[in-house]
Amino acid sequence: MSLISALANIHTTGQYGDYEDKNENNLLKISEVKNLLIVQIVQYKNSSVSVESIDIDGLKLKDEPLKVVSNNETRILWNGPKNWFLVSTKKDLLKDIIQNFNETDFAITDLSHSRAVIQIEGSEVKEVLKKGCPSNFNSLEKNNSINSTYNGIAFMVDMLDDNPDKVRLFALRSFGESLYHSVTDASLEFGYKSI
Amino acid sequence: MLSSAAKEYLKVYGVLVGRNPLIFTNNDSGYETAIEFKKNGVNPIILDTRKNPQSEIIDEAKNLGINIKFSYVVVAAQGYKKVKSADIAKISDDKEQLGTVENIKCDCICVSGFWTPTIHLASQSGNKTKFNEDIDAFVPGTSKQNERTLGAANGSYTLDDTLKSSFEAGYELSKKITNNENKISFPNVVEKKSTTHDKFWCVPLPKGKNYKRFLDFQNDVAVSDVEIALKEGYRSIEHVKRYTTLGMATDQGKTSNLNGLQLVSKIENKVVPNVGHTTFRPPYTPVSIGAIVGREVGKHSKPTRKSPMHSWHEKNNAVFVDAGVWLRPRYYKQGNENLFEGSKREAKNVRTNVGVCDVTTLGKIDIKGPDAAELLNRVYTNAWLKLPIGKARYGVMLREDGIVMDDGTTTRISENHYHMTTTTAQAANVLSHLEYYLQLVWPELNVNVVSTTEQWAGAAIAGPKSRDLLQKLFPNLDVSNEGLPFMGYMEGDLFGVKARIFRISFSGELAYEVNVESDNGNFMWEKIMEVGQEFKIQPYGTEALSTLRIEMGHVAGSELDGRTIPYDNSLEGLLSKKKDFIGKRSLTRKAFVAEDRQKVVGVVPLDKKTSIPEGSHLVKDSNAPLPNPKLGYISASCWSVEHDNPFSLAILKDGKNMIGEKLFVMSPLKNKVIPVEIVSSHYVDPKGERVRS
Repeated sequence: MSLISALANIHTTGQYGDYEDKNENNLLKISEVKNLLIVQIVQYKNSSVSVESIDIDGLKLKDEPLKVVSNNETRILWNGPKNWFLVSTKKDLLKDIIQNFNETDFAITDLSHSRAVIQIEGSEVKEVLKKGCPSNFNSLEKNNSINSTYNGIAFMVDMLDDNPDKVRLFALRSFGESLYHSVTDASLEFGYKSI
Repeated sequence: MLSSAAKEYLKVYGVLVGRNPLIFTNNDSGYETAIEFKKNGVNPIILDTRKNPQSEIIDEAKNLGINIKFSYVVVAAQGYKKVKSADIAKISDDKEQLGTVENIKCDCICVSGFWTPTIHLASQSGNKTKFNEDIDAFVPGTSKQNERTLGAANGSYTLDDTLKSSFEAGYELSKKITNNENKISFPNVVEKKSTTHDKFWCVPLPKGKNYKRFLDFQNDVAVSDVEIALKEGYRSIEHVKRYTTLGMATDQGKTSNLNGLQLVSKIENKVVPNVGHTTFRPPYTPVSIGAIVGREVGKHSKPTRKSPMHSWHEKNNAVFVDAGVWLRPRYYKQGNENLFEGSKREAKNVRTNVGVCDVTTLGKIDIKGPDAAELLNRVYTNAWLKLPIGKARYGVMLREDGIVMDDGTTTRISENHYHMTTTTAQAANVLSHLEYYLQLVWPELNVNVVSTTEQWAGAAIAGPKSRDLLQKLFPNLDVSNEGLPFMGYMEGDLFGVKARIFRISFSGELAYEVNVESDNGNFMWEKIMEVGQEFKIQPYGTEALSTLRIEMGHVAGSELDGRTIPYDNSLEGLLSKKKDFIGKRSLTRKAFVAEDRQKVVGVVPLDKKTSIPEGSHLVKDSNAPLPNPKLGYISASCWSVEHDNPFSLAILKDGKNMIGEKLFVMSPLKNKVIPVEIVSSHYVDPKGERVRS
């Protein structure tokens, strides 16, 4: 059995764009993040269960716009009122989630295969994002996430770090190649390393 | 062409637009062009609508020996692809009567109808224009912004006037800015004095002739078009513009607006200011589309959606078709096959063996919650509360106005979990539709809907040998007719990959849809192809898919086109009488319950050979005078692989009572008239036995 990731046919390693005569460490780094567990957690409108009482991988859901709660493996992105997007490298976390969230109060949907995930790291990350997205990235801080569009493609941005800037971009899987094309094209002027 | 353009070609580019030019004018400008021709060794003829005008430039033309005919007009231009001659005639003083028409040789006709100021910038800045009767044109009124219009743009057509007004305006501005008196004297101007133009806008037609008299060169709008617009009741000049396209597009009426206004003014017996003018839109100077679009952006122009099996399709000679922004295989080319041959082969293989089609693009919506069944019961027209777990059901959803919005199957995965499928085209709309009702109309329902289109890769396996193939793919499952009946659902293990199996059919054959998580999509596809070899499996694209559904009479996007109700599509059996649903109330409207309401039917050409163009009209009598009453239209056409002849679906008035009738299909676009017979829309397997076999 061979798994084929969303960007398998387009993502190739190497250095591209204006990378010559630049310190490799200063180049943007672009990679595809594969094999993530991605789960949508939605609390039904009439549910009165306190989400603060539920623990997922040591994390609590926070109903606060833009906020991401995280540890080294798992990140929980606020996706709307009573709506979260859990992303984790722990694939078996799904069982815990299903156990901990009562199905009469929560809808748990595995979306692990539904997204293409691009990670970009480097000091010019926000400049790349500004080229295709109308959001104000100057105010995007570490552990914030936003939903917007990049060159007309709906995507979610998760700001993992700010020293240097590091983001994950989530797009619907079928749009993955187009988003990758847009993002790498926007990165050419800075030079990037595809890893 | 415009007289000024001919002059410009000559003076600026050294291009002679004709060796035997005719200049047709109502003012002195035409003479400048004629003189320029004469200076370059060409003998023009001037037709001047004016009776006996006197001016310096006319005298100059006379002195140069130019042939001038006063009170003359061009009645018609003759020639094919180029001007060869012109019909001309003397015109009466009141400009209503023509004299004897005579023909003179010429190879170009240069027209000068006087000048109109370029008021566009002033107008766009909010300046209300006013009509100047001396020049028969609109000029800028009071400035709204820091704008001042001078010279010809303000209706001053002489250099002397232009310089004077410009120096004066410059002085005022300078004084305002510097507080200093900086008056300087005007330069001396030597220019030829012109005489007045003729208020002449339209040549009358000779008796018995109905020549097209073009008013707008840019959009080929003729005098008759404006007359028709007024007869149709359009009074506002903005409406006349939109009905005729007069003054639209790139030139924004630069050469046509005033002529059009004068014409409307004459027909309507109004003065021009009362007719008004249309809104001038930027840009004034035509801008190339390339400049607006910007640089070449390649794939940025629009995103492309690809299924997880896309690279397999590419490697196997798929010819792709755009389905929204999805790329779907239309057919898989073998050798020198064309679309018709390839899709016919693929469809035939489905009917005789087994085929596999990538159906990943179909919309998939995961519906969860204690009230999920209630939601389905409200949005679909049929009943959903009692659908057993492990069963699928076909459903139709309507808009509030009763029009069919979309159809598809929904499967009950578990007690509070449903898997809905939609058409590829309507996937996003259906999700929005559900979100809208859940958030705004029925907030009391505890349901979550989320798109899982991308989560699952889908393959439809269709054909009489599909069960045999499925059994080999899932040897541990009982996929017999009893174990997995029509509209049944089960989960299985596809060589180590978890899979969802739905026994549903779009092709009308015994068929299944297998879904696996998208990373495994290519693996699933390759396994199906590998195991299917012994059953002569072939992949099939959207064209064969279309053929299969059309000859089975399964309605799809071309019938559910936003104009039809369930009855029209023979879906009235899915309308529950016991419960309410979105759109139910609208279905009781008078037009929707009319006895002779349109209905989907099958159409077969009498000669069993002639393909019927989609979009063609159905009529009773092909020789009836226009407008020939239209009884219906062809919604979809194919070559029936089962009967080996063309077959179409049509939406036909009183379709239910038309079976067996002989009608005509008319396609004015393809210039075809085809005698046809109306038959049942279910051309193949009308009892639906195959899907249940």
